[in-house]
Amino acid sequence: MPVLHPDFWRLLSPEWVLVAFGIVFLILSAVKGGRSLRVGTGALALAGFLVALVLTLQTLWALPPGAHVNALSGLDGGVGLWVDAYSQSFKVVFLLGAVLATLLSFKHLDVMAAWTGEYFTFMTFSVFGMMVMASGADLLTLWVGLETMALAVYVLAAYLRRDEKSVEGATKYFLLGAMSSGLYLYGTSLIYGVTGTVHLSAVKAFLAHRIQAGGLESLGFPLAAGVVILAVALLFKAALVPFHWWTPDAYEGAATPITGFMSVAPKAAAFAMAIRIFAAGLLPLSPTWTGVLGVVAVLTMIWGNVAAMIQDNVKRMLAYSSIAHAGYVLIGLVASGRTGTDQGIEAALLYLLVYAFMNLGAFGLILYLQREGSAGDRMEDFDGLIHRSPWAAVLMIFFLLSLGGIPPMAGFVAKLMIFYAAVSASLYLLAVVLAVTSVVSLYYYFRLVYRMFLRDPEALPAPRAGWTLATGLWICGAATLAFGIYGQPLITWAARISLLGP
Amino acid sequence: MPYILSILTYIPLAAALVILFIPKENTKLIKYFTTGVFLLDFLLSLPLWFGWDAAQAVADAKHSLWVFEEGPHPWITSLGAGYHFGVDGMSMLLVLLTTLLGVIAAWSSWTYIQSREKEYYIWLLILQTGMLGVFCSLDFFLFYVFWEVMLVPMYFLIGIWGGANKLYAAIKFFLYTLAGSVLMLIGILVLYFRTPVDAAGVHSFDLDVILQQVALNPALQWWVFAAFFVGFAIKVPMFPFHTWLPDAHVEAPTAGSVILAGVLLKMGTYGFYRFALPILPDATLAWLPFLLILSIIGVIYGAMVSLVQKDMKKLVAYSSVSHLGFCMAGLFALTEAGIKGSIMQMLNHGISTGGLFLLVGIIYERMHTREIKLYGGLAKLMPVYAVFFMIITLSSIGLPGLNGFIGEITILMGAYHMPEFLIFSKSLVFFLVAGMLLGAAYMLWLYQRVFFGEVTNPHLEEHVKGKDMNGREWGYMIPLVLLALWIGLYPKPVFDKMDRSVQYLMQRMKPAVERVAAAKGVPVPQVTTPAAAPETPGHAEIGSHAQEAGATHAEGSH
Repeated sequence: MPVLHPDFWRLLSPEWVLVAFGIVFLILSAVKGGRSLRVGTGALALAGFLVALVLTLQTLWALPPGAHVNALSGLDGGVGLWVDAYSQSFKVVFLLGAVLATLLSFKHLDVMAAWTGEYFTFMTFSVFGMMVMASGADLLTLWVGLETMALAVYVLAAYLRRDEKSVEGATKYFLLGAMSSGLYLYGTSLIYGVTGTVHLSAVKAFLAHRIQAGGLESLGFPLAAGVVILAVALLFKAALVPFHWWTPDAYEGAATPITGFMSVAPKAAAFAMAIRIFAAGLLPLSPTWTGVLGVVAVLTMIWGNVAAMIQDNVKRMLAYSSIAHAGYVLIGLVASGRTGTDQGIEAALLYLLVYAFMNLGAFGLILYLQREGSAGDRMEDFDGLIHRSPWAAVLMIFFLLSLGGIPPMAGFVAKLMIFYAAVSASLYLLAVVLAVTSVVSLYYYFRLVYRMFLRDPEALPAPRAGWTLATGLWICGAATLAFGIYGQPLITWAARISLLGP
Repeated sequence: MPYILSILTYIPLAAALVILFIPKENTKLIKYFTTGVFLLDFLLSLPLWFGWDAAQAVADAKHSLWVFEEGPHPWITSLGAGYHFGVDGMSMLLVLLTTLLGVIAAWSSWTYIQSREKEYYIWLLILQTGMLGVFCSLDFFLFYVFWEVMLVPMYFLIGIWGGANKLYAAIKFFLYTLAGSVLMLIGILVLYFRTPVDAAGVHSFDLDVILQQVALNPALQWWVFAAFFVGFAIKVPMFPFHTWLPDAHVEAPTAGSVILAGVLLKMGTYGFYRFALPILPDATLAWLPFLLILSIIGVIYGAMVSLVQKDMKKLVAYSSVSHLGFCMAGLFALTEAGIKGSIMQMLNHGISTGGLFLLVGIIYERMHTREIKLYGGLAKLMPVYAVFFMIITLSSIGLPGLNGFIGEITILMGAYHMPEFLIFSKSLVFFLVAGMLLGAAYMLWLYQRVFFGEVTNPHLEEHVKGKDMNGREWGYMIPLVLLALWIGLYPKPVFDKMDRSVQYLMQRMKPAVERVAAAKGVPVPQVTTPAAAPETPGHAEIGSHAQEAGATHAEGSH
């Protein structure tokens, strides 16, 4: 029988809140209604995500430093779901991404006159899946979270179902995603076959024991194959080179708020899961996988940034840039694998949070430029924005400088932390590639700056925001600047996790 | 006044925020307000000069090199970054130069900038904050933040209000300097990781900590110097990293060129002076022949390219490469006179080349061309302008009695007295003199072609006749002329201000120089003259720190 922690309901209260709201949206999706229903549903979603966010922060602060609480034991008595600083901090990133994406959604849904019931249903369930991915303590629980998230996001990606691009992108995403889920299960089965357990802590203990006893080689091929296949599946989910091919199409095709959401929350969730598996479960094998993932990180940073330089569609450009940013985050995991400390993971977590603000801000600008018949994602849409809407142009400068890692923006602090972790772990090559590709990235970010400031405006109608979108943009902009000037609170927040050691 | 440096630094930024709320149609108010703010900033910076001795005494009592010191206050404690401001004699002079050129740049833009004035003055103000912050920061993290803050406003100044080829010039400037500064950041982090950790296990970005407690072995110093070298040499710009400069200068609006030449180029020399030399003395000596050769190539090459320019502004731009080569040569001579001359020449270059850019801008506003061959006989049409141009030209080529002479002659003396075992030969001085001669040639030839002879271009008469310099143009040129005269006739107060700072640098370099001397078996040179040796306990202490660091480091390297 599964064993509940005495505080089970409180510890997992954010999850229950989300499930409750999701069910409400599911019912609402059966109701016919006009704009007021749409706005009402959106407001309800915003409230739901905010409540879950507050509850998550509450459980995070209530946890004693270094505590790992087993909220739900599995059928075999092992740990099912961890509630610890690591899981709660990642949940903060997901929920923040969801809150901001919801704020960005109102205008889009209005312009598209879209049906909102399913939209928020799937968003809620996908966040629920992500939370399981951050908390899961064994390979199968994690898989359940992964599938819950993935199935919901497939639907969201195809949300503009009359739009060819949307359907094409979502189909690619679905097929590759389904395959990677299968790969994940296959890898899990191999590891289970070798170690006799799916619990990460037990896997870790088994491997450490075998290494000590000197018998790792006898496990040989099945173990190696299991780890590699598992890694490939996770690299797919996090959109890292060379498993990133679905990303540009899926990102370009999806509705813009969903694209922003996908580039932030599911990506963070994939990292939350990958870090838990690799850094906590497969740590004894780190000499092997840090090398492979290091190569992946280098390829990702180079390919993502170079490919972004030649894109003419802003969403596609941001898609490639998000691939590059995933490469930066991966450095954190590799650094932690090298040193066996939390430093790299803290940097990765911090980066993902900052990335949520700056990247959703940039997508928010596209939404701001959206109007009837145009998604606002052509380069020309940004022409002369400073004349049409100075504040929006200034905010966009914040986001672009931050994405490029220029002080005094939060992206600089985040990148510096990754850089710091890399150098501390003696990963000098990764640090240098990070620095050089950051310069490259500014070339394409500044193509937009050039469009906004140095070109004369097209004769376009003045963009309008609506107060929800404006709020979202201002929150992103304020956070990007404020955490750039004073990043200490974020660093303190990220330092609470204790996955590996001091 | 406590926190005077912070006040100076952030006033322009605060003013930029205020301008955000002024309607953009109200250009008059924006112009007056911005120029007023720059003037206020300049007036507030004057106490740095007049209150220097008293403030210096306070610093001496604290055994510190830094005057008007603020902090270090904790800022990002997990990273060991603090808020630490302060100046020494050298950076104080650059701060004054910056605040003065700020007023002039804003004032000279009133008629030159005819579009998007609001944005223009906002960027100008933000740029000022960035530049002052760079000169005042004593914490590497803080320094890097300000260093990068300067980039974006300059990108816009060139990219929006520049000439025909502005987009290319703007992005070239941006990416060049960015690439350099990222390499510099890597160098900074290497130093950072060598600082001792505090109780919480955190390293420190503080300059004092790095100066006093970081001793790198020469091999690592060499690499860190390489990283710093690229970052600073691009900014200076030293040959062969100078190619962004002519593009940026030619395309930038007048005020942009003034700021670029007057202040931004000094960031590079300042970086060498403040960071590369005192922190990495052994590497400096290892790199010295290479650095001097590059400086000399810059001097000669810049001058020769200036000779063949058809565009006045491009000529002045290439002359900057030559003049900055002079500054670098003086700095790397590593003698007291050479370094002092180098600092003096940095100020002079700000005054003379800034003045030349302003003058070129004045005529450009009337004729809308800078092509030299379209001019000729201008002295008859604009006599006052011709006089101003002559004074600044003479100041630029180093006529005795004007500022350029003081800087150049001091650098030459310094270079001549350079310890010979550090460098291949004294022929260095010959090349510098040749550079001076070439400088006279291209400037005087320019003057001849533009001002003398008959008026050959019929449009010239119609555009400039009766439009000699107006009151505003008089107003912003006069201070530069007066400064040129003052420094030319009585430079002692300026030299006195930089005394302690230069002494400190010499102290830092001394152990490394002695090591090289010992290795080559030559007698240890008398690097500092006894009369100028530090008298205050503060300096003795700083010096002994340096020697301790040097001693540990010598042990480590054996």
